[in-house]
Amino acid sequence: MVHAYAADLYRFAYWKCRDRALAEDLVQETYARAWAAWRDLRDEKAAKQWLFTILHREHARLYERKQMQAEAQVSEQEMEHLMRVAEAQTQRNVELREAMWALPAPFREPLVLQVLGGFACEEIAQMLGLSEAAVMQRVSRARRALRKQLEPERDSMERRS
Amino acid sequence: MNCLEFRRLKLTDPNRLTPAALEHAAACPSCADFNGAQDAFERELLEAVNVAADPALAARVLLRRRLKHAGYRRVFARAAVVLLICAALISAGVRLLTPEPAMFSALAAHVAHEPNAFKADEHRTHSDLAAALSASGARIVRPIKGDISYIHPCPVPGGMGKHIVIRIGAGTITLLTMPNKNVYFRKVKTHEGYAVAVLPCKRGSVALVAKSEAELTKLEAQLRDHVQWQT
Ligand SMILES: [Zn+2]
Ligand SMILES: [Zn+2]
Repeated sequence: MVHAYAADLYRFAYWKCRDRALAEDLVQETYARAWAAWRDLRDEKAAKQWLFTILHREHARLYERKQMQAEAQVSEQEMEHLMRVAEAQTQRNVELREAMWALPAPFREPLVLQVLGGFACEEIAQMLGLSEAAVMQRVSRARRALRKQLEPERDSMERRS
Repeated sequence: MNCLEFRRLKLTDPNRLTPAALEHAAACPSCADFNGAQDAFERELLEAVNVAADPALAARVLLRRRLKHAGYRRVFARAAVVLLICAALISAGVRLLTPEPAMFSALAAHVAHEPNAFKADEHRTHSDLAAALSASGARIVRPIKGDISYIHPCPVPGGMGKHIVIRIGAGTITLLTMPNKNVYFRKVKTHEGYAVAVLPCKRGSVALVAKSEAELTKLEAQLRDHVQWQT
């Protein structure tokens, strides 16, 4: 379960806080809380949903305030890392990530859970304490916003057709 | 299905199209284009979301768990061998029937980790409560004279359950329903300043959590007049 999910939990955490050290802390915290209940997590799907939900809660509990700061200012270390990573990335990828960060967290988080975890809207609703309708609306609006930002031409063409 | 509906569905959950949606895309060239373009976008999106994760992370998670246990292992190593054999024999018999200690610490930690649940003021209705308890097969027989201040789905032992907070005359009680966790006897334990009782339900079990055992006993008795856990 650690090998299967640690990387995706880390990614989910990163998309919450944009801070690599914090993201790893969150993954460690999540597993620390999960060990106690390990035996009870019978099927793999329940365990996966469980882990992502715990990470979401831990983040809310520990880092909500820090996140505000993190969003306000990107640390120098983070900037350096971004530059290094950016070299290895396509321009498109960088643009898409920036567009993701530009989305408000309530839209970004359910989208990340869907794309990364493959969760259904109903499952995401359970995990984030939202209604299924709200999740459906947020992920589709997030996709529209991303495509509009990255492909303004194609978007308007589709709208006309 | 029309084009508008298809596109809305595709943007909501691109990998879970319904048979009707697939049928529409097969018959409508413009939506087939849209479908292909969105699939291409989804591949880019997945690539963007997949930020690099340190491959050693899983190893560090496991290492931390081992370190935490190592210190205690050294001290108790020898005694533990003897104890383990005795404990295994006893617990093999008992474990099937009673909730295990790890569950109580997990439940106490759950409540301790979510102080927002105590502060909430959602003023939920009795039908909300009835719906939340229905997965456990519990039934409200008489309305509770209290304020149902919090109901949310939460991860609990066994899978997902409901986290409920009710303010009754004698104090505040937290309920954690565990529809997939079977216990056969009621058991109470105090952990980290929380008194936790686990009771069997028609389906799975429910944990009642209060600030002390005295308060728990009082609140549990009040609830018993209003909720049937095992009918
Ligand atoms: Zn169409
Ligand atoms: Zn909870």
